[in-house]
Amino acid sequence: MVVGEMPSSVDLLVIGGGPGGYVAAIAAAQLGRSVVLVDSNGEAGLGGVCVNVGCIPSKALIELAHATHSITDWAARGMKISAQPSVDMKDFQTWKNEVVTGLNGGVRQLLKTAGVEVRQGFFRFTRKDQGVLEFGEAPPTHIQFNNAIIATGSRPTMIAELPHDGSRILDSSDVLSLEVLPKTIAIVGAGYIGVELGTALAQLGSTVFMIEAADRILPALPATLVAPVARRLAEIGVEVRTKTTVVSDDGKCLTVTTDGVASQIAVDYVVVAIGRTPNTDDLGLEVIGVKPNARGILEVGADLLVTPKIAAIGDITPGPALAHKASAEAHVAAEVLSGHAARFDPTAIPAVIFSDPEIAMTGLTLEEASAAGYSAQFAMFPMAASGRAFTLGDKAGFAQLVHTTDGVVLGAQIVGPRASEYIAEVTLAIEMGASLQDLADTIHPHPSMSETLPEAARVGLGFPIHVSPKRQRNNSEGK
Amino acid sequence: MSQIVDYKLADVGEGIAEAEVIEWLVAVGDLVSEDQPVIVVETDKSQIEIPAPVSGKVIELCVVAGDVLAVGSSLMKIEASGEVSNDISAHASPATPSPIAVTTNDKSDSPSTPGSRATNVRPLASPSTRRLAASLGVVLEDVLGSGPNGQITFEDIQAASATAEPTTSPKVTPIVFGPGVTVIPLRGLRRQIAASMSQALTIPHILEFKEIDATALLALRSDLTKDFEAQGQKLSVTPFLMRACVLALAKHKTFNARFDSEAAEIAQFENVNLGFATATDDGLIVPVIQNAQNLSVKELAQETDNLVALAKSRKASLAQLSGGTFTLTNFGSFGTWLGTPIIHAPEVAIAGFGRITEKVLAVDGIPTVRMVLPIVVAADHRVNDGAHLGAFVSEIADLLLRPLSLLENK
Repeated sequence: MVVGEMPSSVDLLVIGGGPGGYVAAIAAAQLGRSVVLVDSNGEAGLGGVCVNVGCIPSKALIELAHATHSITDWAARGMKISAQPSVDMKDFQTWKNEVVTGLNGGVRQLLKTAGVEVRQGFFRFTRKDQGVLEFGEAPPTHIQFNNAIIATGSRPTMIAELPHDGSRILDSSDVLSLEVLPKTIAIVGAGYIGVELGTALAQLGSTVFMIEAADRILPALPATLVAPVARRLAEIGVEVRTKTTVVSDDGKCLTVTTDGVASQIAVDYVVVAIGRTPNTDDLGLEVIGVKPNARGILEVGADLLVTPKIAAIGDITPGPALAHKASAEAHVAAEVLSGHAARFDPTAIPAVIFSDPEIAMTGLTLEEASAAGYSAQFAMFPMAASGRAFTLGDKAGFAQLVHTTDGVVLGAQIVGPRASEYIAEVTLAIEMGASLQDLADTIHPHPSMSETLPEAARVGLGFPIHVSPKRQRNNSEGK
Repeated sequence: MSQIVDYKLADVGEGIAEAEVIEWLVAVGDLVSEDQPVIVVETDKSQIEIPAPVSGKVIELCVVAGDVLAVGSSLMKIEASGEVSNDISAHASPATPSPIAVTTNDKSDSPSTPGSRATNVRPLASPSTRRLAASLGVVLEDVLGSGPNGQITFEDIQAASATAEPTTSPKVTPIVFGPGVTVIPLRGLRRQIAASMSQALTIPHILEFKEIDATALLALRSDLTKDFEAQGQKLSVTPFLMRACVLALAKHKTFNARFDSEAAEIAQFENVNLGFATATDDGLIVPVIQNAQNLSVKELAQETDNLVALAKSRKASLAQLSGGTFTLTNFGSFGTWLGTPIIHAPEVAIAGFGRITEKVLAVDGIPTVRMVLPIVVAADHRVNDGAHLGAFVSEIADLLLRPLSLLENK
């Protein structure tokens, strides 16, 4: 700071404009705070990775892929298209940009209405109540704050063997901006991001190789949930290489080893999708006396505070790196810093994977429930018994409820069409302490995928209607 | 990164829900090693030293001497010097005397849900209820839910907030009223005796008395004393009285039982676990001879001596102090005639024996001086009636009048 230069005074500073930051800014403004939000991309960054280069564009791509791919299925069901369907990625990018711009503009408008000022630049703490905002060649500006919320999010994790160049070696964000459909592409990492991208690209017509170090795809998920997805990947021609790690890339061929045996894969593109790294390294956190853990995460309690005046939310705090978790924390952080006794203490955080079929989870798995000390059971209803799944032409998967012996719902895992759309119902059930009987006695619209929940509940109660009681009850596929 | 271990009092079994802190063996800042005894607690059965769960540095003692702790209460916090495995929470199985604490990592929630293991089981409460609890400073883990499946409701939170008081039991400090008055805080064994005697007050006692001619009994004892003493075993009248009770119980099983009013059940036992009241410097303790029906008079004498020594030194294990089905008390040593014994709940009867003294009895119509033993049995009237009790007392009397029957092998 130049001697004599006065820092601008800010009541509540939000660092980062993603689904954590912008929600925190609006929530704090609603609580009467005067809020300034800083983002390295300024207004263009509002909505964060999620809106601009993550969840939203990837779902747009997945929808295109799903629609394109399903034409073949629907041809046999009556849909006749004279020409062979083809994909124009330029047109897709135009549409995707409309989607992204629309949502980004929406956030701008919301912040404006709430009276939140947005500034562009990289923020770094210089004192416990002060920091500097730097952007390009512009002179840095200094900000003094009463409170701050750190919501800097995360970025794709890269590996040394595959230096990111944005043309051949891509991260997950780059893939979503491709203007041509890759003929061949290798996806390194078969976590949820890798599986979503790989599925979509394969459905669009790319030849996809999926490289995973673990012994199966989606290694963080229970195996029973993954099996239908693995089957579908094989059906659409994705070549999955498990227990495989990347050795090097020569610009044309990717060299990998599988159980010590080296092999080469010739591909046009390589996507690194092995995970995300929290953005906590260049924030000057040492100045405020905060040290991230070995994984770059800021350890926070239920009040989300890292100092009495500063809170942290989103991907930089413990828990799943998911947009909706960041938004939920945003409310708590805004309230805590405004003197309210709020706590981030959810019973269940849902997660959805837009694989084919979709996977949606909430609350506890059977294994987690048992480990937590519950006397837990599960009840499963197959999609093959759902009328709605029949009409969608997609009968793979199941809905599964984890519950106590008293019938209190602890968790759910759904694999199947539109799973992402109704997992929230079980999340609500868990938060409200609902029982299997509550779910079973709640009338669900017919036909809809949501009917699989009361059906599963009836399986758990021992009186199912659309499946045989014996066959589905705790048949050892607990995980 | 070192880990803070929150060390909690675990379930000790036998229905014991709490323990009293007698003394700390360590202080804040001390370095402790795994399994080093850190605290002495007393249950209503015995005093127990609890060992440290991990090696590390003591950073907080959560309780002080005199505190009465519920199962699940935090004892202390230790900064572990090594890696702490997540499944460190070891639980003492019932009747295991020593390790009675569990640990949890400081960050994990560990509500002590009734009937559950110490776990990460969350209290059932909706988000809006949780929000209310946070705003009122109510800890959900301390609230008993009144809703379905124990769900905590808005009303539960409001009630808990209204009656919010320190959750620890108030500390008892001696109050001096003036010269010549000593106020003694109710602590340790005395406190537990007070509690169990108050509990016994809920039992409707019925008592029957009988005096018997103990001449033959004393003659037999005197005959056997030499042989016993040659084998290093002292012989009092007590083992004969025990044997008589055991044999009488074999015929009158309704007295060898436990009463469970909540379950509305009477459990009747084939085996006799015979408790006998023992005065110690700290107060009354009741050691239990397990399977007393299998023991001879001599074996009963040996086992009694053994358990009395353990009880007086407060070293008897939980197993040696629990599981009784019938109790015997001996008033003879007090120098008085007889007393009215109090049933040791949940048992349903207790036999008391008074002081054997010379008395003039009418023997064959002639006044004769004989050694007379007064007997009393108190019974739970919910389980046995006067007629049953009369028959049981007469059975004991009859056995003692024919003491050779006590020597028969079963």
